[in-house]
Amino acid sequence: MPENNEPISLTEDERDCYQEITNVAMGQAADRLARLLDVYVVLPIPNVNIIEISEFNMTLKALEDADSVSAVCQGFIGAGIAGEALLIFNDASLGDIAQLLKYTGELDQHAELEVLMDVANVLNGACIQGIGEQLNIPFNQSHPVVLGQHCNISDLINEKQARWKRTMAIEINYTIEGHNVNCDLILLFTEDSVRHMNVLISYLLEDD
Amino acid sequence: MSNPSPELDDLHWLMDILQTIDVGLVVLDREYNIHLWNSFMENHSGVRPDQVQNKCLFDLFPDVDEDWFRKKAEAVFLLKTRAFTIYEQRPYLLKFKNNHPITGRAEFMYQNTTLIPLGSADGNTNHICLIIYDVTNAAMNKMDLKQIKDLLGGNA
Repeated sequence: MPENNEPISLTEDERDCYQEITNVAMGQAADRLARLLDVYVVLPIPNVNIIEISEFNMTLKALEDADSVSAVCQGFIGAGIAGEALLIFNDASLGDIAQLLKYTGELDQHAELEVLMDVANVLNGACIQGIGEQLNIPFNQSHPVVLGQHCNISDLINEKQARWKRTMAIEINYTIEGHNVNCDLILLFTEDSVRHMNVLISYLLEDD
Repeated sequence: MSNPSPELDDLHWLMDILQTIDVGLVVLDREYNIHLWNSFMENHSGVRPDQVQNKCLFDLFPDVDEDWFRKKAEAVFLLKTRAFTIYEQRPYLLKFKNNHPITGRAEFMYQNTTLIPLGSADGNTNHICLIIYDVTNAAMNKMDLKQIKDLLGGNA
């Protein structure tokens, strides 16, 4: 296959389609989180964008606010589509989630890691599976990596080290009613994956 | 001569692969009884498959933190989604010896694990598969790196 160097872009229809696919997947994820924690999970509309690396860093910085954050990232790959799911937690949320997960005892760094992993397993897993099911791709998920507990978020991504220029980012902000819980799930797809996925969703769009 | 039963050959291959692959595979039911125990598990634990068949994981291996493991596994049964644990949470689930008993520096095998739901014909998840990966090398490298960073005065 010849390499396609044209920058990726999305038409309005394609963007809507990705948004709809994500809506279904994140609904499933929220349903599972709600069942696990026995709470009402508030669902926003996912944000679908093609972003440059500099914009990505700005997105991250915007998330930063004043508090420090923890992040778990998990790679997924299948049928020519590869990406990463980045779950970003405000550290202030961890106490509330630990309570909801019925963790007792002191919330030390180790307990925080457990909480982080438990939520990441559910949200990342359900979202990735949900998107995979709709596109009919069984994704392989790699082991999650904790990107840095209590580190400055701008340290997470070093602009100079990045090998990519543009990416498709789907941003989902989960909040839980009545609790101080706020986390962002960002799905990032590589450029060649987006080209591939545009072909896949064109079949979905034809049915409309 | 043509092969009389290619399907049977395939099955033999699959069994050979399951037995030889260098990751641990265990199938557990709702009561945490063991239904599959591959060679990796047999060789590292020193317990044969016939000794563990239909026995409870927690009875056989009291070292396993039951509450912790149940919490992870119940979520897989309930939500039908995969769960991952990394060695930073618990260095190991089952205490196995390091794969390099002579030259290795680690006392035991660091493990990452994956729990995947196994669907039944009735659409429920009555079994899960526990996959154990040996990540001793990665863990040791990371710890060495941290030690060096600490020596250099950083606290990253």
